[in-house]
Amino acid sequence: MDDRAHSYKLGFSLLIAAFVAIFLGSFVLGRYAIGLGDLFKISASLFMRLFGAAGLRQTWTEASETVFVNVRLPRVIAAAFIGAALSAAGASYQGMFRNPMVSPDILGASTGAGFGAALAILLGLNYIGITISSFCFGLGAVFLTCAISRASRLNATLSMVLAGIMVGSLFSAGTSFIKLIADTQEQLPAITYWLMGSLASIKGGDALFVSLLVAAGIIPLLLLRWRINLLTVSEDEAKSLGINTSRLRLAVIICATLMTAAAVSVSGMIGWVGLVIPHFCRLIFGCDYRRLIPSSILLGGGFMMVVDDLARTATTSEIPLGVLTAFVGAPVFVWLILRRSADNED
Amino acid sequence: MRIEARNIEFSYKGNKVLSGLDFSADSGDVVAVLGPNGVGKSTLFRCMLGFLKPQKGAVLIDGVDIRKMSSAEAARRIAYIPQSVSPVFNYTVLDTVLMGVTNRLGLFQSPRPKDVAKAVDVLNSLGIAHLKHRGCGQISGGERQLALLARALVQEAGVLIMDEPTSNLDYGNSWRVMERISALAGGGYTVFFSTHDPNQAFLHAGRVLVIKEGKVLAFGTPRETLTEELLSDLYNINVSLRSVPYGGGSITVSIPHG
Repeated sequence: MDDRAHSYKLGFSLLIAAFVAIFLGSFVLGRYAIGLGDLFKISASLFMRLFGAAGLRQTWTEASETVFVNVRLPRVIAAAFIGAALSAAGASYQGMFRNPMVSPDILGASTGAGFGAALAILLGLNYIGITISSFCFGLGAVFLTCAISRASRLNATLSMVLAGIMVGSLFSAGTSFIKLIADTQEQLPAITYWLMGSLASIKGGDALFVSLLVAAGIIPLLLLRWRINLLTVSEDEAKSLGINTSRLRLAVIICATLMTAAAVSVSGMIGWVGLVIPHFCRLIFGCDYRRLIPSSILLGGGFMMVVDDLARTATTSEIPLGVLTAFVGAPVFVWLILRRSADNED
Repeated sequence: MRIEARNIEFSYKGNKVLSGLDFSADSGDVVAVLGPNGVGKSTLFRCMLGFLKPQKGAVLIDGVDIRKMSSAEAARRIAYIPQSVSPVFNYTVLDTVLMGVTNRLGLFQSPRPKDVAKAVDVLNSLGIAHLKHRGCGQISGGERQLALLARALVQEAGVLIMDEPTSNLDYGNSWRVMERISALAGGGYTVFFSTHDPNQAFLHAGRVLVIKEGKVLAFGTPRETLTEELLSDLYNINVSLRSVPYGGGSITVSIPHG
């Protein structure tokens, strides 16, 4: 008992340390180098000015401060929140659908968001318009899925999965159609690039938007994390254990959808994170959602920051995030499957 | 705890599944529920647990209608033990058992140290405490069934409902699980278990509830209730009963033949 508690504690300490190291490191990395010393001084100075004090004597260049405040801060924060959101949403959905192969897109949130963005680009909306349209269509797609599932007479889980597949393919067909009629000079490349996922053009407002909505979704999931365990057993068992399954399921769907739609509307489509990160956390910390949700948040956020660091430093032009996560995620997933089948033969 | 089914009638899509079911059981009763496939045993259990609302009649636990309780209140009175199947997520035995305390936790609360101590006590009493950190996917079906029983016991409910508790177990594990179940009567529990084996009723149950076509065909002690005629009629095969010496006394066994 104590051994276990100790190893979990050690695991979490390492995870938190890694998260903080990646967080700080991500500010330093990039085409414009900012020293760690400058980083601390600028942050301290910003804090002091925020509370009306004079701030530190400026020993850093103006460019360092601009890059830090306007470029890197929003980007790193958004990456951390998006990774945390997708992983926590994936972990919750996997429990709710009693299937470890489920990703945050199961109810159509990201395909809906992709369609919303493509539509906004087609209509020539500005950057804010794209984000809002994408977010609303993400929520709308999940709402549609839930409405169809409610109207059907199949059992709740099966009808939701089927309705999710249907709504997802409807919206991806819609996106294809928009690509077909879009102007091939500007709109089509913009849509294509958006769909591949990127944080290159992120601004302070986006970071604030995504962090507030992700916090609104993640905090209830963290508070309810023990109860999410009970959704992994059959419906009758869960009810007999004394929980209101339909209300809990609704709460999980609302939280996970809010986070996924907010994340995708800012970053574009980023696959694999929501599927692979919870798997890894289960390997290290077990199935229990008391540890699975917090570890998914930390590992997912850290992983996303690393991927985004790679996206902006690996080559001279930005690599889309969706491409990178697939390059990393797919081999890792194959490894997980092979490992799992080896385990079963023991 | 006393559980009473009062004149239950339940229809599904216009088909009558249960009609006029009337019976009751008290603390210390272990009731075997017998009846052919598709006769409404599972529906009856789901009505007793409050998952289904009978069109007529009611299920009362210590005089209170189960449908008028919240799910947490119901969970403190009646527990459900499902068949032992391999789980999707490999929770440890201890975590599985801890799920049973949820009805006494606040919405945002996790199990407390005293809940863990309670779970370990129950595991000890069932003789499977050494498995507490093993995954439920890595233990035998019989051990897993005992873990599910432990989960129901930490719920502190007086009535236990078991849907074919031995259906996925081998001969030895079935007997071991059934021994634990019949021992619960001494602890003041009211136990209902469904089975397809009349011998389990003779060996492990104090009373037997026989259901045919959604009605109570007979309810009483196994020896008086389960006659050759009744069993032959119930399962549509010829059944012979023989009395054999067993543990100082004698016991009836049922032998089917064409």
